[in-house]
Amino acid sequence: MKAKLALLADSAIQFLSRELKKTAAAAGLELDLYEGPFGQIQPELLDPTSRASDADFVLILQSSEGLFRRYCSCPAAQRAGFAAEVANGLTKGASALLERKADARVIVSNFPELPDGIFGHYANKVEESFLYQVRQLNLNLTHWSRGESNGFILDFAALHTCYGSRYMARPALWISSGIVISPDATPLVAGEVVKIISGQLGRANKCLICDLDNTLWGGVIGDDGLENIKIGDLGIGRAFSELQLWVRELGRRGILLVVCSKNEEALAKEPFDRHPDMILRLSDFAAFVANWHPKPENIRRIQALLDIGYDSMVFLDDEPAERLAVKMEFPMIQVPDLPKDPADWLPFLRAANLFEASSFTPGDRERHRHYQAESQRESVRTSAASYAEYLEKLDLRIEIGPLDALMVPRVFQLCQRSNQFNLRTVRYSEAAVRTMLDDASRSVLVARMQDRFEDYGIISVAFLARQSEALFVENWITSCRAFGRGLEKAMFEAMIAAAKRDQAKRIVGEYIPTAKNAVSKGVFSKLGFQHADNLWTYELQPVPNEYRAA
Amino acid sequence: MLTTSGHMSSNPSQMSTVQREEILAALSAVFSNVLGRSMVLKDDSNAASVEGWDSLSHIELLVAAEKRFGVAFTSEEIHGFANAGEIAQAIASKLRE
Repeated sequence: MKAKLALLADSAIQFLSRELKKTAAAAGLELDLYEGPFGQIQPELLDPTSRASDADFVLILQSSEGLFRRYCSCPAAQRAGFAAEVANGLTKGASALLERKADARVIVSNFPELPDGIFGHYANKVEESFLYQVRQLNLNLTHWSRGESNGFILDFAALHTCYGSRYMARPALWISSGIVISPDATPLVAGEVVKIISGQLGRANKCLICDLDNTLWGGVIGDDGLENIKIGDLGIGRAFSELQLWVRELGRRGILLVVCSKNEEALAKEPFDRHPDMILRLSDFAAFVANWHPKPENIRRIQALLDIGYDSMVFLDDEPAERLAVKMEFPMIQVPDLPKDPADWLPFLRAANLFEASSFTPGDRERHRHYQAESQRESVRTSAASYAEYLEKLDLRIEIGPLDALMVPRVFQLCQRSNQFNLRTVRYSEAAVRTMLDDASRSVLVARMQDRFEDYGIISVAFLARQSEALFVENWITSCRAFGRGLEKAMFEAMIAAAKRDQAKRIVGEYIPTAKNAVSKGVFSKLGFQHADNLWTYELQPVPNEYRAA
Repeated sequence: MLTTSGHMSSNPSQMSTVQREEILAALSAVFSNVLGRSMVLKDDSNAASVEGWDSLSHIELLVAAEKRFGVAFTSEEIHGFANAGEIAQAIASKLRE
């Protein structure tokens, strides 16, 4: 991954910038970093020839310290409108840049609440107080980001709340050198920025693999029995109940939940079915693996079942030995080293921000159902005499049509998340996808799929660009959930129809290999494209003379 | 008042010289580590004479020194240190506190 990042700040950011490069490199992201001139945020945003205007990502960092100065010079009569004025200036500049460059993303840092000791708690009752205005400002920025698909917030205020201002800032460095982030907190802030950027470039954790005994409940189900495991009001059960609530929320956000436990399967499932205080239920999980095999072996099975990369998995286990075994076998799986006391787990996991989201659509909530439907399909597959019969029994329906405005968030998400069937791995931003709605030089084909077990929703999209006599497949993406269902053929037929409509003579495609997309390598050859000069070409049959209009 | 260590406290200047030299040696190691090359600091080593010691690495060097000795410099010190001797002197007095 590669990205140009412009850093615009009103404080000294050399350390943050160095740390950003280091953290990004460790995450496989090559950052081309530009530090804007000190305090020149607006000119960089507004000038079309500025270097920030050329960046893929712009990070705007304004300090609460600087904000307080500005507030102090604001006449008392105007202070009630201070937040609106600051937010306006900032978001107008950011939106102007985004309007010029549909593919850019602007990340605005919000403002930690500096308790100013002027009104104290009473500040909440005084609209013109600094505290009131900072909170208002942060809320205004949130609203802006919600309405601007390529506008994001770095929640610096939340980091201050979580880690404490004494940790986040070092007054001696602010006073002597103009640095607002303490040396200890700099790697943390850099890490969070990198999460936002690499998330937008398609990297995300998608799956949480959980141990059971002493992880999702206290005690060992096989030894202690159903009535003695700690959950709910029993012993320190609250720690596990709260963890389960949190895990269930992750599931509802679209993170795939998986059980991986050394247990008898029936015994391991019993609490989910029968314990009254259990919060998670079997239906919350995309897969449930309980046996006595080594965990790395089971994780390999889980990977094959869910068909997602190891680098998108998080492994949760109370047992340091199990964690080590998984870390050694799969260095790309994230394995949080849980603190000793279960009471500390949830605060620790929350602060670790392991699942930074890069998009959210309501369909995410249903994601795990696919894997449950998949096991039902499996039984159809084994009973069908042939693959063709299997497809028939599935009662598969594929519907392909042009992109419309309602599809944009899901299509964007598909671009972000799909790594395997992704022919050129072009990651469009949401705004860029939106501009294609009115782009006459492009056709975007979107496929929905449904079978008797599940409505898959949108599972494939092809971006076709008109180039003189050819229709170029700028990218073609298919969700791995739709593999092996004959979808490629249907999409190809739709491409041919689009090409004919455009009176193109051929369809040209390209496959750009990445570490993950080997599965899509052979698709053009299978569909009958001819290979030459790294491109794949499919010549359309000329319409025979006798059918031509006279 | 320090009766048990009366021998040492009766000669504080000598003690601090020894300690100062040790601190300067340890500080040299910190500088070598941050700047990526081996060096030996003297009392009068400063930003002009030590290659790589500029306003940016100044902060980095001081933060690394704080970690090494378990001390915290004040804003005045961070802003005002003119040479390695002054840094070592400040560390020595903080360690005595």
